[in-house]
Amino acid sequence: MRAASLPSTGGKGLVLYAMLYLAFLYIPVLLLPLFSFNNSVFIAFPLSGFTVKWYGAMAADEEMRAALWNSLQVAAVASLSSTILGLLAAKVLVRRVPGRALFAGLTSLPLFIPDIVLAIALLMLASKLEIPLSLATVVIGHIVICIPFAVAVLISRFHGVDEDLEEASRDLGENAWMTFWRVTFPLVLPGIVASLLLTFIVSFDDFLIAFFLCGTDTTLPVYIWGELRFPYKLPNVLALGSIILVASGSLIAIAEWLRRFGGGRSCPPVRVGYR
Amino acid sequence: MSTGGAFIHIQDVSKRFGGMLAVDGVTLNIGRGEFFSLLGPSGSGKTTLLRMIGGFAVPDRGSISIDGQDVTDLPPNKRPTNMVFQSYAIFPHLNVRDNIAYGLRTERLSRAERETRVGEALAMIKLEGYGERRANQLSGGERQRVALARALVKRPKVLLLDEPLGALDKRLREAMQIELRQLQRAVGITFIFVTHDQEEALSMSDRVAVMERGRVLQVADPKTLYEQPNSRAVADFIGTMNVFEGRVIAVGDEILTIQTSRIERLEVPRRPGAELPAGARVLVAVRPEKLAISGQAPHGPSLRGRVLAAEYFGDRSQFRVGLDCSDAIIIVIVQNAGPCNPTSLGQGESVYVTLPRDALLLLPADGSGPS
Repeated sequence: MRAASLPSTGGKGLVLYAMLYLAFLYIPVLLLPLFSFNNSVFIAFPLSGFTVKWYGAMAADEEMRAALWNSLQVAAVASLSSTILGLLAAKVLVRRVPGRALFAGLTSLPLFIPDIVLAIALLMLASKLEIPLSLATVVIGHIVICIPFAVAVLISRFHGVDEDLEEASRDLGENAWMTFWRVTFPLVLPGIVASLLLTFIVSFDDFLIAFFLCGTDTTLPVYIWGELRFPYKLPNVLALGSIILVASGSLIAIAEWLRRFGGGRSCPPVRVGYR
Repeated sequence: MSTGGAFIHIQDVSKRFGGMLAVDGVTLNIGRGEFFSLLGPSGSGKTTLLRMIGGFAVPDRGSISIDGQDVTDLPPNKRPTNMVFQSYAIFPHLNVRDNIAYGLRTERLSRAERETRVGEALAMIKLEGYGERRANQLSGGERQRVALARALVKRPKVLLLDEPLGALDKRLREAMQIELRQLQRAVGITFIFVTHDQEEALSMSDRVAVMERGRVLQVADPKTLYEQPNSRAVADFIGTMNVFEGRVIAVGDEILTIQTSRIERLEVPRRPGAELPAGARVLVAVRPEKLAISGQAPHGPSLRGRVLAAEYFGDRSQFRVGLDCSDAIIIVIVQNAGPCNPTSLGQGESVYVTLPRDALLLLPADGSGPS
């Protein structure tokens, strides 16, 4: 009897801890949508009433719309470029090639370089090379930070494609290019989509790199940072933040679902014996 | 050496991986329509040789020609060969029908022709009605058949099979051996079959090449390979063999007399081939099932010994007999249905082993191999 009750006490403690943990993680974030529907410029309890006017005001803000458009463009180009580059890198990194471990390490290194260091380095480089700061420099910076994510997602997908499948395609008469399109590409497609979504988010959410490299063309996070100076615009920012929160969350969820389940195409091949 | 009319001619082919010589100067001729096996233990180079025939590896040295065409440097998609992979390599994103039709895109067939060929292939492997299934809905044996159909639908000149039955359980494997052999006779395509299972190689093949450490030790039909292995390595790999070291002491017209170190003098029939002078070191070999064992002293000459271990296998029994005259051990296999009711001979029993003269073989002494 006592033995049975012990784990349940432990279980209660654990549940409480888990609740506190989740509250710590998510309550601050959930304040954003809460106050975005509050009918007051001041961020304070008690709530004074429900409204959607901040969403309307936000949509009417032309500067905000321009910044959003900038961000979408940058994220689209950065995610596409980093996914293509990541695809090429991952294709090599899953095969037995000399120097693979070193290359794999170097590819993921930007993950561990602080963004601020990277941003300053890129800024210095741009000024040395006399490249004017614009959305193009932001795109380059974002490609640098996105590639490790793309490679990580794509490698896990490529590992599911047995080398025998590509050899079988060659054996059945297809050249290397057609083998890629008929076998490799369909099998890694869920990984490619997941990589596109993930790198899009990474680029869209980035503030530091864009802040240093954007010049006068502001991306959305940089614009929001500027707006914080005007207290009366804060509710607009809250409305915008809530929308970004929902959009980002959904994209990440889709990316993760694709990476894991990939539409049921990840049939593991029969693994047997030795070669 | 000319290609000599051989259908597949492998001339002095070598392949090195890092520091290891995987295939070492192999020369082989394979005839049209032959069921040819490459038999050897793991690491003997048989799969590497097969992959070089298929174009998945390029020889460092030597050449390979198929039907008069030098294919040494051609990629797999340009060769008249198709392969059944050990893993089967069924495309997981395609169903059975699309897997089988995969190689037909480059054949430039009309849609109707393609449908016909795929239909025929499905019928051949008795999987009609499985066309819409995916690889993960197939059993191991079914995947094996799909891999076979996918390769044969290309109508290759040569079909390469890399241990295709290795992943199947024993019963299914035996059924597939028979089916594969029948299929090969029906389509008349040359099969090159890689296996490490000696029974499989012997029961299915027209001829077998026994490989070890990158070299071909012997190429022969299954009966010759078993009855007249050319070296101790081949004899050991195929079945069980009793081997005794000795020296030729007299050369007669039909009989060689061998003084063995551990038994006694043995008389061995002289066979055409290597001429052995008196004094030459040789090995005397005899298969366990060619020996007779008995509880009573037989009429002719025999060796007295004691049963060290008796194993019962249902259809046959195997005895390890320690000889009285030395510390030599002889293995004897007897059919349980035979005349001498071997089940009565237990461990520790005193027995007599007879070595029929015609069953004795001479092999080159260790260190003077066949090549």
